[in-house]
Amino acid sequence: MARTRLRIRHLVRALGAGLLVGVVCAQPPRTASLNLCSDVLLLALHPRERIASLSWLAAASPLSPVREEAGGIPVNHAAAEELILQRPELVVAQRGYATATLQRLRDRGIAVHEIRAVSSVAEALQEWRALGRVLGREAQAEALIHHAQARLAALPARNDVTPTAVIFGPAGYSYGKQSLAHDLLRTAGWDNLAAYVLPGYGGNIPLETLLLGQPDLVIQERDSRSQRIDTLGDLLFRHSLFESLPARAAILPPSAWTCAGPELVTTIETLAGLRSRTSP
Amino acid sequence: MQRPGLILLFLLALPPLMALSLFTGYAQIAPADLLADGDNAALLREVLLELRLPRTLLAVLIGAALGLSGAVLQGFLRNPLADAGILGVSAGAALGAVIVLYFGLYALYAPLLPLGGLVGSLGAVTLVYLLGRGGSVSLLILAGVAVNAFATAITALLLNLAPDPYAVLEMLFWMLGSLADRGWQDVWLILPVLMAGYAMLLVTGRGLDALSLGEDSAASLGVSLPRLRLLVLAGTAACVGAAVAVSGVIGFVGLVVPHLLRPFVGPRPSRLLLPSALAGALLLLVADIATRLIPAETELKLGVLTALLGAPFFVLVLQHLRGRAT
Repeated sequence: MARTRLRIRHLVRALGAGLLVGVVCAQPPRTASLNLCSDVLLLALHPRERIASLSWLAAASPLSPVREEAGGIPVNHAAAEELILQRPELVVAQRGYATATLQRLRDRGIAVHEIRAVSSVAEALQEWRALGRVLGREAQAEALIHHAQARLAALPARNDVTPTAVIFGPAGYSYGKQSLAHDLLRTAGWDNLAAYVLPGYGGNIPLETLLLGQPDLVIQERDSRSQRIDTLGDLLFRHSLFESLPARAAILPPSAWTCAGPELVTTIETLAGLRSRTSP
Repeated sequence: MQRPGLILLFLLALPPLMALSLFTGYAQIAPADLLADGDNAALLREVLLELRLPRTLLAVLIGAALGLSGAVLQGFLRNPLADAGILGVSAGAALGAVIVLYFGLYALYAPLLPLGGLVGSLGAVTLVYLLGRGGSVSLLILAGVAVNAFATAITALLLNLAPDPYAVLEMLFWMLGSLADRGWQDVWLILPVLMAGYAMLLVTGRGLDALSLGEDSAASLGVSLPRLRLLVLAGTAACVGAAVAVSGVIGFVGLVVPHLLRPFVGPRPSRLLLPSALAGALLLLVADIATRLIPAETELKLGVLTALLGAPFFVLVLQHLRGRAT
């Protein structure tokens, strides 16, 4: 009996994803989001009244870019039980997070859309388009993409010589060629110093790189509002070297390049702005 | 308390605790809610049957597997510090699962994650068997230590080489142990393996008793030592491999439970087997209920809780043993 029910459920699930796209044309699906990154995109594309829930970080985390906007919307803690009782038709999550939870939701016939981790602006725009399609909000997604492209086209012209920048995070974590941060620097007209010393996605660079690499810009990746030490890695920001560096200094939060949402265009604009202030 | 009384007590404690587990979770579900008509009641029934029931069963089955394998290993290796960890079985299972996580293979087919764990534990125990073949129990322990070290080292290497910090977090959190959002799929996957494991371990009782008199005495009593070793290793691999495959690494249950019961049941290993299995099931069930009752924004990991519960218990047991020795 239970097995037959399970089989029927599997069949429904297989058809459900396809049917959902058709049904969606009638009304946007009731959607829940499991991660802060997907929260931001969902709020940008989806009508508020059709959002079943956002991740608990959306309103609670001080680093959330949508803290005010998320107020009043129910939250979830990425637990299957909680989500099922919120009755979403679609759940959006970052790929690789809460795999067991997503599997339980699929078992119940709830459609799941996973946003993959992106390593370039182009990939991010693709993800916006894909999400728009699943949400039945293609027009809104295209508008978002168009707006982003317009802002990118309006960036200050590139210098004759590309200046170098380096991002220095807690414990010296920095970003290599395969990271989104790298592509954001590149798009803003910077050469990423860390890409020359780090393989792949990223890793830790020693403080001396900031001196020996002679970057034009050193970006500390931390919350600019406080000098709080949250981790051992944060202690490095207090190093006296930072005061004596010839390079220009800037501070950007990790949320600047963590998610593939619209805020990455703002990051590029900020980075490009820094460029025009360092050129001779 | 006598052993039959203890077993009866455990068996009586199991249903109410399982019921408590079924009614613990994010949503407040009262029994009356389930019998009502309507959409909401149907949804609550789904939550109970599809999420909480498999989770409860897994806690019982995995707890029993860990408790039983701990008791068997302590008897077989004649070492009070023995549990599945010492033979490298949990480390091997963890490595198998971490490899699946590292290469993102579960995206192809979700059951690959627990399957990786099972393959890992089988590989580890085969290596231990081959390294320790024809030698004494001490050699077997050393082989276990070697395999444990090797599996742990490769796991650490994968963490080190992880493509990005999120991959590291994913592997680390998996290894801390959890039963959250497990489903019937996980139950069906490991149930046959667990049953085989229980069967292999439960029949070792007589052999373990004889072994406590020494290997020569045991052999003269007609116990086939190679067969006993095979049963113990294979049974442990099945029980602990299946457990780790679904829940991640949950420590302390196999180590602590036999020690807690020995004062009541006596030193003979065979008498410890069934009580350890039942007590292990109860302990893991209680710990899993606690992860849901203790308020926390991020999920409290089961492996963390069993360590927090187990360590003080262990200290108490050691105090008791020290008191008796002086």
